[in-house]
Amino acid sequence: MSLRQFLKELGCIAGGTALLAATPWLKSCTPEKLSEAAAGGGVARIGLIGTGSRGQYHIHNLLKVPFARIVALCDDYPVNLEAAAALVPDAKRYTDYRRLLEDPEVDGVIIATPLGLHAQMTLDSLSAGKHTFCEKAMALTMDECKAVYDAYRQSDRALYYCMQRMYDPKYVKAFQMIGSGLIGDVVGMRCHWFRNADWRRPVPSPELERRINWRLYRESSAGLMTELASHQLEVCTIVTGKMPTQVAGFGDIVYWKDGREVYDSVSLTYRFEDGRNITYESLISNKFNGMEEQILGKLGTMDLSKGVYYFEEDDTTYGVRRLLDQLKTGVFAAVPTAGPSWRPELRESHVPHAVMEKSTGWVSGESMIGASNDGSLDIVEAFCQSCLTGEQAENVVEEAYCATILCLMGNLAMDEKRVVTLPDAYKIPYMKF
Amino acid sequence: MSGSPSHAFYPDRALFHGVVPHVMGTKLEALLLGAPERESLSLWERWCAEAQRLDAMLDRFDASSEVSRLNAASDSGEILPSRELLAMIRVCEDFRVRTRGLFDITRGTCGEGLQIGAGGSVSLNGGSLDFGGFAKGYFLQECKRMLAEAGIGTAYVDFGGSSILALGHHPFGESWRIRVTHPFSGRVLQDVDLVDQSLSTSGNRPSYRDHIVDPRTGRTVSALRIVTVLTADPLEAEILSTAAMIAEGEELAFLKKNFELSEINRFDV
Repeated sequence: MSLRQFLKELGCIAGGTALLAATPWLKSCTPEKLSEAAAGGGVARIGLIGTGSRGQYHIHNLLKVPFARIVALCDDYPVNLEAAAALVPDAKRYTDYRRLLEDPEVDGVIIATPLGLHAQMTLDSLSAGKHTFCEKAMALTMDECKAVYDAYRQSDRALYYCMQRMYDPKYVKAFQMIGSGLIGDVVGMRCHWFRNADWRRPVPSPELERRINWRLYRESSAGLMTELASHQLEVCTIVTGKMPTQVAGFGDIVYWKDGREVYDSVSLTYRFEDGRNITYESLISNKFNGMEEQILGKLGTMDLSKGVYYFEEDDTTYGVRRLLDQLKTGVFAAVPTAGPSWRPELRESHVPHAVMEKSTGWVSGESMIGASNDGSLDIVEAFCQSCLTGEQAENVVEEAYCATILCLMGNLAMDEKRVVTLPDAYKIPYMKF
Repeated sequence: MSGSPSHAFYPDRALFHGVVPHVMGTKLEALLLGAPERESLSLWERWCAEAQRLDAMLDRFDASSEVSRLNAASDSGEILPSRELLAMIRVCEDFRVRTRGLFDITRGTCGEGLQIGAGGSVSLNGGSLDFGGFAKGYFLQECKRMLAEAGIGTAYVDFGGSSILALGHHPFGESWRIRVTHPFSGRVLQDVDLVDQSLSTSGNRPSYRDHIVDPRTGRTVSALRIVTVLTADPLEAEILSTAAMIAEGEELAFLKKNFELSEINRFDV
């Protein structure tokens, strides 16, 4: 199910508007507003900076947006620029992003470059009066994050970060379900992202190593935290509405000792002021546990990445509940017994309940580029609409800021092997503690 | 899930569904068919009250229960139970004798059991009372009696998933069919068809062992096994399922022979 379809259905149910209030960033991309954008005849003219794999992924998505047109491409790596140009032959080509920003034919800019370039390019893009969409995370340092946030506050341009979970229907619905009390009070969070791959890309020539494998080097990357954890920590701040203030953890290069500088294994605990914790792990030499974001509630657990939830006490497996279903539907079949008497502490396996009745696609977390149906198309579409209307999606920048700060705090904690407390200098009014 | 009872009525099927999420350490759930809502609800409310009354009376972990008070006083010699509790003790003693001590509500007497005096006083021989293997069956016996009084002939009462009273039959089948599965693999061990009968199951799960104590030795039964007992009397089913879990060697054959109206099945898994 697309986000548009989901929001359309939401608009048709009682209380749908109230549910939308729990995810206010979606108010700028309701089906009505998107239809207006398409019917108005306006076209969002998009310039793309960074035409590597993620940039090309955005091109494929942009080509599906009826009111968007890619008018400019920029990359200083000719191979990628050519590949992108093959997808959009009519777009102008630039090798210096500043020249693209000077192009008056460009309404909005999408930045899909290495993390170390995000801050400066975003600042320049806003200064150039462009609506701006940047890949996550926000920036390589906390100072850069603050500079971008401050510039955004001063700007009248729309700014988006590609935190696609905020636009993925199964996450959106899960946020709403958690907000409505389905799993009770949130008492803790467990997130992890495991892969078994070296995170490398083939390098045609040795001098390109640091440019192509930018994720592996500190000058351009903050490693697993910004590339993977940022999405998952953002989920935690959204469902709690709060910002952790402390973090401790360990990070090491455990397996991929190939000259990389960023950790291939991280394990951290984030602590909220009310005592709740986020337990976070990521490892790229074992994928058994996959990717999960578990929100632990007093009454149940929501696993957002899988789009399922479980109740602590669940009567759906027992005989009478099955019998009841049989009697309602005119079916006769055997029903199971419990063996020994059922006791609350005996539960061995929980029954998953789907967040969405209709599948939205399973995201394994193994892709380094992006999965289908993960909200990336929807957030790009929302951005294109903002290019036409100037409407800023609520909370998107703030959540990206919070998530990135948390990632960078985590790296600091691991680098210095100490408990890191959120410095006052990086607190923003949006944060609740 | 809240701890308070709840119910629903489906008029097109004349189907009443009631749930007590937590009573006597487990869950009570029932389906009553064919009776008007008011009659079903009235019966259900009496059941809820009865289950809670028995829980308050028999729970040995509740310091205010009659059983706890008697257990606390047992060291001082003879205890004097209420008339109702004494009647229960007499029933249990009868089953203890008939099962050759495999079923015994006393703990810590090493099979000595208890003595009932002429005036209704009881001596526990230094042990204590535990109605864990009795209470659900006793309650289901009460349910069966009240169903008969109310003229409701089709009902399915599930107490903790392990003690079931099934009257009449499934409206779309000729029985109430219950499936017993292997605790590890989920493989089907047995399908049991119940018509006006009770089924009690007892067993050890991988994660829940050692909860049944052999009263003669004080040792827990650790064997991975499942027992099912099918019989007309819910209390007899309840008692025999525990006894058959404990039985070793010839004792199982003895039980089957001595309670020939009950169908006892044991699966050593």
